[in-house]
Amino acid sequence: MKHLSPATLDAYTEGSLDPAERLAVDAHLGVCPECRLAAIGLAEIGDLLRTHPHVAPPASLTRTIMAEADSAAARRATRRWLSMAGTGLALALAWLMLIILGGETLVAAYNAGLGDFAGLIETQPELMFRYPSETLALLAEAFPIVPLLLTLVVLGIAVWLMQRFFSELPRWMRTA
Amino acid sequence: MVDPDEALVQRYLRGDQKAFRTLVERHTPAVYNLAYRSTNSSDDAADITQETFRRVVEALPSSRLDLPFKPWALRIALNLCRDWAKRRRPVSFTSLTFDHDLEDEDSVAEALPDLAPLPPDVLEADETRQALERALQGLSEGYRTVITLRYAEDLSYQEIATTLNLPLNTVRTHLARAKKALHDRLRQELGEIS
Repeated sequence: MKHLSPATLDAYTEGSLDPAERLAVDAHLGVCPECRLAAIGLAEIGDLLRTHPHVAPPASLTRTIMAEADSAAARRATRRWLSMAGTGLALALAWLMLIILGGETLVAAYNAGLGDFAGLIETQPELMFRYPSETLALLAEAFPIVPLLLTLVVLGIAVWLMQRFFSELPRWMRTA
Repeated sequence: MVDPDEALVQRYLRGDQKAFRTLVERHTPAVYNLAYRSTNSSDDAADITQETFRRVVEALPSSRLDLPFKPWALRIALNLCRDWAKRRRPVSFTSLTFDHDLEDEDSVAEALPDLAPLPPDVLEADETRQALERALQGLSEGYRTVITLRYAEDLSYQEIATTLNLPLNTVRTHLARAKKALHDRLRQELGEIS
C-alpha cells in the first residue's frame, strides 16, 4: 500500500487540509496502521511544542524600543521640515525669477515690435495665409528668443520644485 | 475591541505614536522569542528585537501597507538573526536556506517517517521539557525557525509562507521534516536520560 506523504500527514494533524483532502486521509488512516502511527507521532510532537513555554522578553525592552522610536520620529520630523523649508524657499525664489524674467520677456517682445505684429495680424488675418513664410520670419524677428528660453528653463525648475515640495509632505497631508 | 495591526500602522503613519506603542507591545514577545530561539542569548535577542523595530520605524513610511504587519516584522527579525549567525560563525556558517537543511537532514525524504509515539508518562515529565529545549537547540536553524513560527508564534501555514517567502507546499514539507528531525532528537535525548 502506498503511504501518505509526511507533509500531508502533518497538515492533517494540524487541521490545515481542506475537507476533501481530510476525508481522503481519514479513509486511508482507517486501513493503514503505519500512517496512523506516524500521524499520532506528529500530533504528539505538535502538542508538545504548543505547551513549550514562550521565552518572555525583559520588561524594560518595550520602553527602550519606544524611547528609540520616539527620538527617531523626532529626528525624522526635523529632517522633513528642514528639507521642506529649503525646498519651499527655492520654490519661492524660482517663482520670483519667473515673474521677473516673464515680465522682461514681455517688455522685450513689445519693444521688438511684437505688439505691432499682433495688431497687424488682428486687423488683417488674411496676411498670415497669403504670406505664411514672411509672417513667420517677422514673428521670429520680433520674438526675444533668449529671454523666452530662460523663462521656460526657470518655469521647468519651478514645476520640479513644486513636485518635490508636495512629495515631501507627510503621507496623511497628501491623502487628505 | 482590538485594533487590527493594519489600522494601527495607518494611525502611526498619521503621527500617532500611541498606535506604534501598541504594535510594539503586541509583537515584541514574538520577535524576541524568535530571536532568542535563533541566538539562545537574551542579550542578543534583546538587541535583535530593538534593531527590528528600529528598521520597522525606518521602513514603514515607504513600505507597502497591504502586507500583514506581523509576518513582515518577523521577516526583518529573521534577516537580522541570519546576519547575527554570519557574524557569530564566519567560518562554519552555511546559509540558512532550506536546501541546505534538506541535504543535511533529509533522512525522511518523502518516505513515511518512523514516528513511534512517545511513552505517555514521558510527555508530562519535566525532563521532557528540558530535553525538548535541547532537541530544539540541536536542530538546524531553518528547521528551528519554521517550528518557532508555527508553535511559538502561532502563525498559520500561509503566514509562515509569507514570512519566509516560500510556497505553501514547501512550508508543509519543511514543517513535517522539522518535526521528524525533532522527534528523532527528542528520542535520543530521552534515551540518554533513561
